[in-house]
Amino acid sequence: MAQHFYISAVSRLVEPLDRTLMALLLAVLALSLTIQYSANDMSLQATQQHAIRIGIGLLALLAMAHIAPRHLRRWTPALFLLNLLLLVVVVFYGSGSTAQRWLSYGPIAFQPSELLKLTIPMIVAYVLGPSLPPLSTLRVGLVLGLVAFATWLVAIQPDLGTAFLVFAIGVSVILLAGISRWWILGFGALSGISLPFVWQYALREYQKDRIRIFFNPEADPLGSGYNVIQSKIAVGSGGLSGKGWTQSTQAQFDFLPEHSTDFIFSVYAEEFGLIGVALLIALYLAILWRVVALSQAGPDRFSQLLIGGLGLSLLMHVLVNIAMTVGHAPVAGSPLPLLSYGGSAMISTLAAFGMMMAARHYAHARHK
Amino acid sequence: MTPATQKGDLHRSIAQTHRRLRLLVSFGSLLLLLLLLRIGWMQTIHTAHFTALSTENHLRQIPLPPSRGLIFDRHGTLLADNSVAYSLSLIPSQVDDLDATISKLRELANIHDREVQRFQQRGQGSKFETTPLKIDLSEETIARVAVQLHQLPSVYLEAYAARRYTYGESMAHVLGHLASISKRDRERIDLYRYRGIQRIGRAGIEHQYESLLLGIPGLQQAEVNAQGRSLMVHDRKVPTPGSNLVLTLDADLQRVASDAMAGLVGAVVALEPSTGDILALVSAPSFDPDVFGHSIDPDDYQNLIRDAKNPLLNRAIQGQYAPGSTIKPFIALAGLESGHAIPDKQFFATPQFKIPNYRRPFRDWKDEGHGWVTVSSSITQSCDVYFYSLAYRMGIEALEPFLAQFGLGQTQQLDLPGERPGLLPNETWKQKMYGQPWYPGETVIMGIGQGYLLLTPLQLATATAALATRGIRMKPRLLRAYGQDGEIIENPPEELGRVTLSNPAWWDLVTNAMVDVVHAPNGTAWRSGLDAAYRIAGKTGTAQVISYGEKRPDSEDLPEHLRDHSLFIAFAPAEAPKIALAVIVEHGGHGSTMAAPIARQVLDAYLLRPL
Repeated sequence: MAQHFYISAVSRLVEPLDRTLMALLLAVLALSLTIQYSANDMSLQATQQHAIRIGIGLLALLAMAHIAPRHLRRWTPALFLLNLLLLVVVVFYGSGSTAQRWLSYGPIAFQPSELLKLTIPMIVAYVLGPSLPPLSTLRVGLVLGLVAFATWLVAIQPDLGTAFLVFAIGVSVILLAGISRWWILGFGALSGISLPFVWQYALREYQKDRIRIFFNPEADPLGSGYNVIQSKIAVGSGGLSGKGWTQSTQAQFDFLPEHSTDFIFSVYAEEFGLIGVALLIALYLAILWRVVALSQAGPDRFSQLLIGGLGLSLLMHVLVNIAMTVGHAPVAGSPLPLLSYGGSAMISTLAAFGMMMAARHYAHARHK
Repeated sequence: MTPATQKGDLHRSIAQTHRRLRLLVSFGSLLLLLLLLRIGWMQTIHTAHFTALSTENHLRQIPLPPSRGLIFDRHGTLLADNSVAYSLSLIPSQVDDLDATISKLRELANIHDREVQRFQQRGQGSKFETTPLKIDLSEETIARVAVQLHQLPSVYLEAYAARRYTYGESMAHVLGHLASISKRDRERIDLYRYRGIQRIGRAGIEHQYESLLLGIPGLQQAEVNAQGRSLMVHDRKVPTPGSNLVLTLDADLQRVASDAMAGLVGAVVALEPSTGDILALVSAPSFDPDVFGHSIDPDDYQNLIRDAKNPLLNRAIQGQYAPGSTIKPFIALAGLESGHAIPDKQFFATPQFKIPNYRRPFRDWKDEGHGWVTVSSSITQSCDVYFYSLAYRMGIEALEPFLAQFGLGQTQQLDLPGERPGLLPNETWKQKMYGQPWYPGETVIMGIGQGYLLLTPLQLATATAALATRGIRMKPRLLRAYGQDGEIIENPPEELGRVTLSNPAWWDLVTNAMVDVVHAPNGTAWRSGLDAAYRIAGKTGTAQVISYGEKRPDSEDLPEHLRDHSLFIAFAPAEAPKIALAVIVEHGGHGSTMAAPIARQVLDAYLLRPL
């Protein structure tokens, strides 16, 4: 009897999980542990730390998977406001080497801007979900304002890379919600016009440097361009089958900065070569398209927008990070989802997958 | 709006959202595949390029500097040695706040402003190269810095081979010193041979035999990390140490000569007539060669440069002096050879010598005149009027070529940088230099070693050696042999030329006259010959620094800088010469009072030394 009870309890616990997506995620997480061991100089302690974060992330995934979208929706405004509040706190009390991005409480430190990558799709889905196309101008205006405000709070930390991603995620969910083509065109034109002003007044010198370096990394090989040059050396020297696990000379000898966080892909590409890279990109693509499939079913607009928004967020992160490692995007300081070292991103990414699975599960459940 | 249309709208909007999502994800997937394509291109077609860069990154060729050759004297006494010293160095490009780091280091070590300046002038250098901020740290400083080192990233205590000179000041001019490789050096040296080497021979033997002393750097291929620290050595080619040098110098004799010159200004050059071996080469005042090698207060160096007595000048080969009466034995030989002087022919020396159309007479140093003299006694007593007359009768056309045979007015090809040629004037030179003809009066004063004639102490010494060898001129040399343990390559003596006389007996005539200078009661240096255990052939000289009217004041009454230069040349033992020398003491007064006693000390030290 008791045994039967446990089995049914466990099966109820894992019921909301999407088997396909889980399998894909666990495959990427296995690669993540493997490459982190190598990128952290074969330190068991650091690898263990990473494993613990993955564990917490998976628990968060499981927890989120059990929260029905309607509950999530109810809590959305409060969560978003809390996130904004934390961002304000960061501006005043945050810590970090070059910018204030971290909030610490005892031994725990996290980046509220990472949380934003969840709450932004939520708030946009919350505001625009009830409105059917053609969307009400008031709601679009309101949600754009909220996204812009959150973006601004991140930008002044300053963390331009994350700010860009936050803004792009917000706009992409608005796009999904069915905004008219005229809005898109008008917005595009506005961005084009404001670009020179942003360059002139909003950007700090080191941020401008990063953008300049993006266009010409060899101009300053020991300074800002150094990371990109060393990263390209790592990727290119990997060859077809890589230098082998733990054999990355670029990371092992510290030529490649940030090699366990922002540039983890370069280490991966150096050690596992083109074959490994193709495998990893295939896994990311499979995850993405599985997410697209999940979003298909729901008659619930909030859930659909949320799944779509989180999926696009994942896509943009993967694109921006990998493009950066081969010099096709500025060094923005954004992690590669699921692979990079760092708790905030890992946990919020896995939690996002929990939300997507919940949205799918409860949509199905309602259908039945 | 009916519930049905509302539901239809919802379905439509969900379908639209899904379309848009698929479109965006498709576009994103395409970009991701393009990235994969780009990475594939980097990892296949272009991988060799990146692999090379990666290898270059972490495999570094670290040069292993060879140890510089040692320098010994003729008896195997060590003159220049290598010892371990420590420098405080930084990799400037890796230090975040250079000014803060330097000021922190200044708290730990006594670093002079000029050292900081020099450090900053060197510039950034490569990502892995250290630049020394202070060299030759004291043990106390090393200890103090070592404790703090872990807090000072990219600051290093680096061991290097420092040069030590056993004989310090007494050998400073002849051995030279090492200096940091300058921009000018870089243009002419083979940088490949100087990898890992900071210093280069700058003067003296160190400069002359740089290529022998240097050695060949080895190479070590090592794995390094981004901070340039060596992690693992793969391959090693040991350096070839530089050749050791055995010099002709006699360290003890050098010290005796330099001690004898203490407090004086001038030079001593002593050599072995039969080989040309330089036994002692002293220039005074000297300096501490450590000023260049180590980081004593850089002000010391400035003081050296500013010193009015110019201690950096090597007077032995660069000082050019009127020889005064030391020229007389050579004039006598010229006279004998040309037939203008006849042995034993009597000559009446009046107090002064007059030539036609010259208002001013040429006075003898002896106011009452020497009376009846011969060529021999004129040397012994240093009779000016005899030599005025002899030179006048020979004329510059006969005198100049004969003196040139002794190498006067020419560099002696000594293996030391910076030797100056002196000046042996003739009519052509006068015409070119002043646009004037040669006046007979100028020949007259050349008879007593005044006028345009200028000789270096080295020239005087080698010419004296040629008197000792009866005309065989050996090329003066400092290098006797060089090589590595066991493998010694001798540097054989070399003959520069011979002075031949129609009658070899004239050599004896001049030598005997010079012996009388020292040993006869009427010799000008008889005091210096007292109690000598061997016979010395010598000649005093007193060179005027300025010219006076008819009556010249006594030298002792003049301020020091106007006093005469005191000179002495000699070789000994007179019958079988083992040593020839020249001594010059600037403003030392008469040759017999200053230079001759110094010469006697040097000769005694060399000839009477217990073996």
